Amino acid sequence: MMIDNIRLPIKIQRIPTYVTNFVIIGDLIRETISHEVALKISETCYLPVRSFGLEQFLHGPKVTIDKQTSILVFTSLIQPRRESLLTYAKL
Amino acid sequence: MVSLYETNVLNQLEEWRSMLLYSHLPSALYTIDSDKRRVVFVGIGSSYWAAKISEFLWREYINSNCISLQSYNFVKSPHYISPNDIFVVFSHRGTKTYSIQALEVAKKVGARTIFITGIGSRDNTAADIRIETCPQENCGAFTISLTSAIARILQWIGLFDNEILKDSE
Repeated sequence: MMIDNIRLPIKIQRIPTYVTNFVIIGDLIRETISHEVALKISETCYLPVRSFGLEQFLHGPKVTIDKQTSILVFTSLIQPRRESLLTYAKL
Repeated sequence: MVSLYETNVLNQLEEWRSMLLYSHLPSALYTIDSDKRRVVFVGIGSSYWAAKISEFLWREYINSNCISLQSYNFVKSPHYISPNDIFVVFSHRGTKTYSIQALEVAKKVGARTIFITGIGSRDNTAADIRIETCPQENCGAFTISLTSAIARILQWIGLFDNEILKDSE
């Protein structure tokens, strides 16, 4: 396994503007990543962050998001439910 | 100014590389037929996420007979555990009460116990095998200990190729 660097492969263009509604979502093994990232943000930035498994989020907590919400999603292009989440979030 | 947290994140590559190249897994680990037994991964906090990720990796690459549990739940609520299980506990400092208690419960049942912990952590468990990861964290938000523990699991599974690691130095 070659590890070249741990920098983000993309440049984040815009800093999220969330105040209190920041949601991190992941599917499968990435659900765990979402929980750990939420924990790190809470610990280092003292910000309230919620994290969910993707399917769990779609089964209820999705109704708590609004135009002020920032969502960070750890998923894969081959996961079909990814589209459901993105479609809902864009509405 | 770069915070300790950021420094630790950036130091991860070097830490993994030196750990994987120069600190071998205990040979006793290879005497367990881990692909034929149920493996239980246990932890709390970030160590619970290490356990969860390990469970996914184990299921993907070894066999699906594995689970991950949060140590408090394991200690406070009845769980089935057998002498044939391999019981893996993650605790970087080795001070988490429920994780240590979980390990003792598993030991009493007769399961093979493995303790994945930081270098210099408290040696207060009766684990059959101790696997060390990285030096003790110097920042309240643990990062390098979690990823080093996962690197150890990857090493156990056999997903690291040391030759490639050497080439990338």
